[in-house]
Amino acid sequence: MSEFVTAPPPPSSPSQPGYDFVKPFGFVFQDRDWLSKILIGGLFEIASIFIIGIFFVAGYCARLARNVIAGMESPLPDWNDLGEYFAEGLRLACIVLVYAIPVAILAGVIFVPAAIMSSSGHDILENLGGGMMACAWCLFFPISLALAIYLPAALLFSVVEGTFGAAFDFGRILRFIRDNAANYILAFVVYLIARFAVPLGLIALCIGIFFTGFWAMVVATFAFAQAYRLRRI
Amino acid sequence: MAQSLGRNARIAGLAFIAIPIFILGTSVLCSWAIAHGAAPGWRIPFRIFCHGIPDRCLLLWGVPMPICARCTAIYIGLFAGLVAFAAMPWMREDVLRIAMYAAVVPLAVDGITQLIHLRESTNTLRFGTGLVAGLAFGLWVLSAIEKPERHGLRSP
Repeated sequence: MSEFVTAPPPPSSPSQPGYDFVKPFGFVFQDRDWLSKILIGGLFEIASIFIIGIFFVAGYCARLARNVIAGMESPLPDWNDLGEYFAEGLRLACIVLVYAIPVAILAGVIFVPAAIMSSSGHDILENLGGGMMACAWCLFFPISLALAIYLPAALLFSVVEGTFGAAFDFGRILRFIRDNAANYILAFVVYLIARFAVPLGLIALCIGIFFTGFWAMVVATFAFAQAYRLRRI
Repeated sequence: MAQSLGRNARIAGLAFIAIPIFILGTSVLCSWAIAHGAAPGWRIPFRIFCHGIPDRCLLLWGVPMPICARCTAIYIGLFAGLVAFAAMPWMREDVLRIAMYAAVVPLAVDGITQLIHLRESTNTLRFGTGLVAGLAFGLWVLSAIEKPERHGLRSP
C-alpha cells in the first residue's frame, strides 16, 4: 500500500498592520498633557504670522514624525529642546523655500507681463494678457497640486535622515511615493480633512483658529509619518 | 527665591513676547494712519486675528482700532503675564494652570453668551475679561515650558 504524504501548506507571510485612518485625528487626545501641548503650539502658530514661529512648529512636527516612525506609544513630544526645534525647523523651511523658488520664478515670469499687458489700455494686449493669465492658472494648478503631494515625502526623508540633501534625493522619494501610493494617498486625505476642519477654530473667539491650525499640522504629520512607518522596503 | 528662567523658557518668552508687541504695535500704527487720512482698508489685514467690528473696538485718535477690545486686552495681558513670569519664575505650573482655567471662564461666558445672542457685552467687560485671561495665559505658558526642564525631563 502506497503512502500519500501531503505537503504542509506554505507558511503564511507575516501580516503587516494596515494604515489606521482614524488614529491621526485622535492620537493627540490620548496624550496626558495634550491640552498644554496644543495651547503652547497654538501660541507658536500665532508667532508664525511674523515667521519666527514657523521654525518652532516645523521642528516640533519633525520630532513628532520621528516618534511616530519609531512606534512610540505616546508620540506627542514635550515643548522642550526649543533650540533644536528651531534649528531643525529652519532646515525644513529652507527645503520648502528651495522647492517653492522655481514655482515663484515661473509665476513671476508669466503673471507680471500678463498683468502689465492686461492694464495697458490696448485691446489686443489686454486680451492677450487675459489669455496668458488663464493659461497660467491652468499650468499652476497641477504644479501646485504635484508639489503639495510631493513635498511631505521630501520633508519626511530629511527628518528621518537629519540632512538637508535627503529632501532632494528625487529617485528615492518618488520610489517611496510610488511603492506606498495607497497609504500615501490616505495620509494626504487625512491632511486635507484636517485642513478643512481648521476654520472651526473661529468659533472659539476667532483666535481659536491658530490652535486648530496647529492641531491640523500635528494630525498631518502623524498621517504622513505613519505612511512612512508602514512603508514597503 | 533666587531662580532664573531656563533656556527653553527664555527662547519661548522671546518668541511669544513678539506676538503682543507686533499685533498691538501695528494696530496702534494702523489707527494712527487712518486718523491721519489713510484708507480704512488698512484694517482688513487684521481680520486674520480678529473680526474687528468697529462697535466692539476701542477708540484711538477718535478711530476704532482694527482689533476688538477683547483681543487688545488679551494681548496686553499676555505681554504682562510673560514679563511677570520672567520676573517671578518660581511660580508653580500646576497652580498657574488652575488659575488660567479659572481666568478663561469669565471670558468664555462673556463671549459665548454674546455669540448665541443672549446678551450684548460692553467694551469694558470685553477688556476686563480679556485682560485677566491674557495675563493668566502668559503666566502659565512659560511655566509649562519651564516645567520639564526644572524636573530634568526630556522627551525622546
